[in-house]
Amino acid sequence: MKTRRISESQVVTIVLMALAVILLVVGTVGGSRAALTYSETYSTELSMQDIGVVFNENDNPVENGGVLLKDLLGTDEAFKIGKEYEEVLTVKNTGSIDQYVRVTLYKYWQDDDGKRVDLSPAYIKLALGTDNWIVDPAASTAERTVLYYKLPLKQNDETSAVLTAVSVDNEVLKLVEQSKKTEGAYTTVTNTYKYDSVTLGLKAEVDVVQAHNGEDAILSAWGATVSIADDGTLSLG
Amino acid sequence: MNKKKLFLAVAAVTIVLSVVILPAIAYFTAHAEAEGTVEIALGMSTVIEEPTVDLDNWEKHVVITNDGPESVFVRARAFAGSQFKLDYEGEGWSDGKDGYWYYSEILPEEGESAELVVKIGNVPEDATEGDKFNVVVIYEAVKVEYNADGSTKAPDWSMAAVIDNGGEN
Repeated sequence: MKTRRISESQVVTIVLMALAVILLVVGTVGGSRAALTYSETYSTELSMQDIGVVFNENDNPVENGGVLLKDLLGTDEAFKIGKEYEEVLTVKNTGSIDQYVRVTLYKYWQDDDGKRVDLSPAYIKLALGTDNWIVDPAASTAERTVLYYKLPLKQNDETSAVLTAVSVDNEVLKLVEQSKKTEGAYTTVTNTYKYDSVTLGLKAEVDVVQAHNGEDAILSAWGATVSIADDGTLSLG
Repeated sequence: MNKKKLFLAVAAVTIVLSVVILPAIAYFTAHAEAEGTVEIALGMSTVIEEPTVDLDNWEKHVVITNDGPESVFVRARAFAGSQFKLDYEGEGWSDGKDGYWYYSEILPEEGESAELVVKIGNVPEDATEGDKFNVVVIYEAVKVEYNADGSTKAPDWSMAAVIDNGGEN
């Protein structure tokens, strides 16, 4: 009978391969082990974690890519300069894990040709929520406001209102040019408003990240440096 | 240990590390957004109807109509030679003691004021057809401004558009 000898180098190779396979199996099983549960009937369940978020506008959910402000005015109602229109915007955790929330609000003017960058968004007034919301001034501009919700948002919980009302400053009525036209015995002076026939635009974005290991998660996902206290309260810087 | 064994060892460690480390640097994130617009119409246009002239009673009858999309306040006054006396009368119109008569109601879109009657006094008794004198009516309109609660602010007449309606009668 002919026997085949295994060299020392082949033994080392086989041992290394076996070690690699064992480490791979251990690593894979170790990662999913926590998600396996067992019942008395010995069936196995795999619990998947997910993260999700949705805006609520005046208590109505707004799907991703949905439309805001569509019910701001009643039928045939004209927008009144100076009046505060209720626009309550909140964020709801629709996932299965706690999360930290960041909202970015954009306000702008536009017309049929697109955004009017020559018009100041400062005349659009947003009444921001103050209950557990903090503004990041370093990330905000005249057009954009960035806010963080200080507390981790639990599954199915909803934040306080990040926005409560929208209005346009009465000062836009002072931005007017007058022209005079005379026809026969009649002279007519017409006011032409700089902000006439433009459209107020509001865009809201919400980003959420897992609350677990929150500081690192926020830095990695958003590039923002925050501090999170032992009780989970987030602060900037 | 030759190159082959070294390669296998490195490969094994790389595979294991990739399995173990990857979950630690991937974070759960999500994003949602929504957007909306609302139109702002600030255009203001008001029209004064051709004042009707009642020569039998020496009166001008003035009615103001709001042609624009926004609500306005209006006020009016008339000018004539100093020899003539002008008196005003009209439901909803009141004397502001500054020469203007103010209409109390806001004129909404397509709204129309009540008639303001300007009575011309001291007309010479010997005036005859063909004699000329001027009575000029002007009126001003200003957009209604609102407080945050939606209530109406007092009109800012410094922002008024002035409409001058003159005429020889």
